[in-house]
Amino acid sequence: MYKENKIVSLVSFSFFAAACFFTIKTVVGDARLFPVIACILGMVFSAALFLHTCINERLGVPVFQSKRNSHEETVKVLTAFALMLAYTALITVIGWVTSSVLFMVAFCIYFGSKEQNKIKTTLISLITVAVLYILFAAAMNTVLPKGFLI
Amino acid sequence: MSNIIMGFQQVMTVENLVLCLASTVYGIFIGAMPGLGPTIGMTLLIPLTFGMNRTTALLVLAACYCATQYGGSISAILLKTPGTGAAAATTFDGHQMTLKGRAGEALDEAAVASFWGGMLSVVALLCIAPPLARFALKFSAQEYFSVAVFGLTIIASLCGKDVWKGLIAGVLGILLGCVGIDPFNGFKRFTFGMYQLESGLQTLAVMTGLFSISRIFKLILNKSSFSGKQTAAEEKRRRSLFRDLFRYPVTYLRSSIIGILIGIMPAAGANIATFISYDLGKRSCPEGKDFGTGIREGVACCEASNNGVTGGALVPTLTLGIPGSPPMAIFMSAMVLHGLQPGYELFSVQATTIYPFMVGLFIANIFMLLVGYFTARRFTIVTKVPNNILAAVIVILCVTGIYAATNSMFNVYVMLFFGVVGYFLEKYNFNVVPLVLGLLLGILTEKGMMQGIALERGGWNFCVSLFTRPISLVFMLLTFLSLGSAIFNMVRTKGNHLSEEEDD
Repeated sequence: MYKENKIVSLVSFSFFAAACFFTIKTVVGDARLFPVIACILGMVFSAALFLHTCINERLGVPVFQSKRNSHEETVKVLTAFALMLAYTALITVIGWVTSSVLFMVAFCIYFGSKEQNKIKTTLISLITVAVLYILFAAAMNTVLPKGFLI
Repeated sequence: MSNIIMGFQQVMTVENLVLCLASTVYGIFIGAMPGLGPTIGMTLLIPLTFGMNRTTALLVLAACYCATQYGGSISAILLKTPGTGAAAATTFDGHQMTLKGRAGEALDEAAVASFWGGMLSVVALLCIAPPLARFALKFSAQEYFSVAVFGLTIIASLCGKDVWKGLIAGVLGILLGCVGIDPFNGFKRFTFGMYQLESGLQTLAVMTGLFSISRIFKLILNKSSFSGKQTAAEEKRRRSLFRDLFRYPVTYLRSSIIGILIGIMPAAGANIATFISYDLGKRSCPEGKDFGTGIREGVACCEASNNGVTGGALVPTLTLGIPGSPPMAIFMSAMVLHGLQPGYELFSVQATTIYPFMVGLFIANIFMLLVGYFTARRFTIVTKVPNNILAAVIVILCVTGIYAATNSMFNVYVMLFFGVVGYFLEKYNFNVVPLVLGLLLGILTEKGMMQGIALERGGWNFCVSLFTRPISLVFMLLTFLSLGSAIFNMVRTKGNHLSEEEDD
């Protein structure tokens, strides 16, 4: 359980060190002062986390241990992200209404229970998007992304 | 006093009252929509005010401003999705109360605390606007820097049990605040050739990603929920507006004063006020040590300061013509459109317009309390919606809200990116709240530091000046006190054992 914390602190230290190096290389003049200070603080805190974990290990004090996702859980997370990304990408191509309906139907069916009625879910999605469209476009006059469909 | 009486006489017309009520309902609704804050709400209202007289027009806009600040708490409490940036701190206890089946109680508290914050800020606006404006004029780079540094020390107390990870997240937030064109020299930093990043990361997009999108991932893994079953105590609870109004008088007063003072400072804003107020509440309230686990007073701290900012923000706008925040800039443009010039003359020559407007804010806050207290509970119906449908709706609301607020798909991608970042940070026990605080305050800190160094012609002189100017000295002392107590608490707390379930 200490190994994870040590790896996290090393990754964090490397990130801030790389950011510091990148700042010095790419940012000019006084503009680099504040980010460099932040990076140094980040490195110090990462080192402190590493040391703190080592001390806890020696004293036998338990530390946080994350739970590893199962294969099924990883697939779920990736699918959710892919659906969100696809929705965002499609929104300007096929329009807000069509992409929202497609996203909602896909999301609700994929993450819903196996016993759910798919026709009912599709209807709920259609009604929800219609209500949201009326709220955003008609009532609040919000500019929604446009595509070749609605 | 005669001006106040005259204000009451003028504002009490059926037209004013009806429009004020309509604007309040509209404001609460806009505030509750993630991404649609006071700026959008007021912008959409401006064309409608052209046909109104000056007092009514200003009243309608200000009522909308106050109501949106409160409305942001509804989605923050129910969905852990802050409707406005200022409601981010409300999620800490508000959403925990929802998870424990006490959503209605949290919404009641948000309405009551917002009412007190709004009322006290109007009193401040009416009585002490000119001296407060003079106080704000004394704020220079050193004062802004010391206020921001004081705000950053809050990170230590918001870290939870894993202090070092919280501090790392805070620094990451500060670093993210550096993205874009450097505010002092105009050099590009961390833009990677993307022009969209030149204006920096949109705080709202980052916050929505960290708070809402990351929650979606947990939700679909059934590790989290947006809802909780209503407890038997909640079902049986008899509500009493009178009792709720006087539940935490000290907290309402303290948080409102913080909101008013922070509101007066241009560019500080409600986001910072709520965090400072929450932190002070955590240290001084009897149940402070349990803040973050669903404590009603935690919601009161955030919401009173959140709405305390409204009257405070009007002080520099009306007296000095300095709009401290985007909504105030919109409000000032509306004033100019209606032929009103901010400044001393507003309180003398235009007294017949401005005093009825300020008195009207009392009525707007009363409407906000009544509408919020008696109708916001209807929103708790969302806690009964199945998780998959709720998650999909939240994604659509977030995507649409961020697009509407920024008019850019780029920020929607930023939101998704930070959703993933938030998921991994929480998975490895990093608290995302310090990251948000670092992002908000880092910008202000850097600006203050760079301006101070330039003004004092050197870093050393700047450091000395922090302790020679009275206001900045007070804030620096508060900073050391805050740091000292955080270190004391850290030493006192042994071990940092946490499990993922506990954290959820």
